[in-house]
Amino acid sequence: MPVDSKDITNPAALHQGVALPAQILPAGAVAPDFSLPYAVGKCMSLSDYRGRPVVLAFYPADFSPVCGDQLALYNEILEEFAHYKACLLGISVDGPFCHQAYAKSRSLEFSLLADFEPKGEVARKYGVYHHAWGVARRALFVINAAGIIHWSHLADMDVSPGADGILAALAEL
Amino acid sequence: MLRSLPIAPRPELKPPPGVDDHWTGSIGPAVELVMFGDYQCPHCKAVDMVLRELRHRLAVPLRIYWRHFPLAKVHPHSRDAALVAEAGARSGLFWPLHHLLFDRSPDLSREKLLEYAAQTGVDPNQMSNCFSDPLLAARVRDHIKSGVRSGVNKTPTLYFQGLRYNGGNNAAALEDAIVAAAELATDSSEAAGAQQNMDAVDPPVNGGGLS
Repeated sequence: MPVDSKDITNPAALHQGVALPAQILPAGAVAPDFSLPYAVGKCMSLSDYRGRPVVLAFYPADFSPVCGDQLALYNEILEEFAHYKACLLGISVDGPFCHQAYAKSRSLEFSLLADFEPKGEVARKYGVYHHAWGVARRALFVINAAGIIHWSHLADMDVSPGADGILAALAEL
Repeated sequence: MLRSLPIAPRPELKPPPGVDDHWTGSIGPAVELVMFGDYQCPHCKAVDMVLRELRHRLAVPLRIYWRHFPLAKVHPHSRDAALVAEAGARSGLFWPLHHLLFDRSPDLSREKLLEYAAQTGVDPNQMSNCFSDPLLAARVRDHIKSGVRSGVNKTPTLYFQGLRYNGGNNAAALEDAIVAAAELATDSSEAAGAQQNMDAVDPPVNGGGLS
């Protein structure tokens, strides 16, 4: 039974008049839809992927060491995600020009979404915005083909979470 | 005194070290260190150098295992280097070639790789078609799958006694981690020994005698 994200929100935490989750959205919650730039002047929506699993990887910042390790790992094992017909999307508060430079420098072959303006709005909806640092926390979501969160994981900011949890969750779908 | 390793969270190594793994170091009870690495990765090269030195300097029994985890999209020679190392293993020369690959890294073009294999005495027949040999490719792929399942999160990623190590990779940190793992192993084995002694002197709950 899907959990409506409004059931787990903290009414005191309002952003632009919308109640936001006080903590990372758990398994069973409806994945909030969003539309974000994946390149300069081009946007994609989560709902575009309805019908197939989606892996959302929120990370703090382009060009940071731990994020580099994490994304390089995912880039290397895209075939493992493809085995489950899953689409991997990286999300940070960096802008599309920054993402473009980062993806090119690391030869990344998956989309990086710019949660740039309003800053961190999507991260806030998923309960993974780091207010003190002004960045997305390092967090992972596996969303099923119906748009329901099947698995979520909040990792340490300074330790890459690897891919074992993601693949185990995809295998369960 | 027990010392805790800086390893939280600690995903488990899957599968545990086995007969098919490349290993070097102590035979018998020892600290087991498994390294997932990439021959073109400068951090892996640095750790390999440190481990070579520590293995000879520390009095701790240490057994080092290697599994391939080439990040070929950022290190274009890394997969080829892994294949060459595997081909070298067929001649029983995995470790000499392994160390030479790191000594020469990042100069790892195909031409150079074959030259390094020849320098270590690998039979040239073992090297023919090594870049397209499906068995070698499958072995490297199996290592990568093991790494992914085990929570490898960068190169190098190390596992002590089957658990991921999240600490630093400099010489001092690794020395501390090896010594700490040895102490934990000793404490565990002493505790197990003490329990065995307790089992020997304590009668079973049900008395073990007349009932």
